Amino acid sequence: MTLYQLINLSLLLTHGLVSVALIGAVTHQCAAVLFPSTDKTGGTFISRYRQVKGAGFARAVALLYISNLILGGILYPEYRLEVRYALEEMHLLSTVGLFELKEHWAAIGLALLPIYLSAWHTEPAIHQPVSHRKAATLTLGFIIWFTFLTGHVVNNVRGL
Amino acid sequence: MRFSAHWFTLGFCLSYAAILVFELGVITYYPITGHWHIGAPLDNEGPAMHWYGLVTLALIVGGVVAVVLKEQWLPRLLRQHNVFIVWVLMLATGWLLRGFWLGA
Repeated sequence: MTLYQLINLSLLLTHGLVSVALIGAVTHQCAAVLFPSTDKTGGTFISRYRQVKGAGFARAVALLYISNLILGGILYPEYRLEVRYALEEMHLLSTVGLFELKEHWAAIGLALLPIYLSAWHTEPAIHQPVSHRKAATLTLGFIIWFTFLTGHVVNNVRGL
Repeated sequence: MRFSAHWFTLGFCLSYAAILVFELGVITYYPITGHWHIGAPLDNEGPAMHWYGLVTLALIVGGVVAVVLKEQWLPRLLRQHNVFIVWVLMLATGWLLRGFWLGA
């Protein structure tokens, strides 16, 4: 394995690990806004999972999202030259399309980040309805899950 | 200098959609040669990548709009349901890419 390949592999693994951290944080938040727990005693694991203070996750989610987008951006030319050509030769256009959609939705997630952060750091009762926070968080959660699963599927079909 | 999150989302989404629909790929990266190019696409440089330029331009437009325009100038409906614009853009990109699945 050459140094170039080793660097690419390290970047890909880091990209995957950051994605896992991001998925964990955003799913916690989604659970907290979708099914807020009223159980103050701790209760079951599910109850404790829903009890997290979502605001504490918001900055971490934004930071991880941007870091992961940059990592993906660094790896993207390698995908374009090594993976996409192979997929096209195998006539797997639907997989190519899935990755194209992933790249666009990941970029669109950037547009969502400021209103997502503002929704979590503004008192909902004064400035905006709670549903705004819920909508921004669930949409970001959806984008993160979609990009993660798509990246995983494409990497399984033809990895870097 | 105040930054309006809502104007940023609106500016980013509208410029992203416009660049994508009208194929205004102003900044292009050529991964084989490692060249960046501003302007009309070049021949003999291998495959072109427009995504970096697309995101950069949308970020610039969104950022400028967010700083220049005041939050209160945005209609209340858009301020409260700005996420809807993100969904419309996501669906629009899916529609533009439909050829990959439908063979169009």
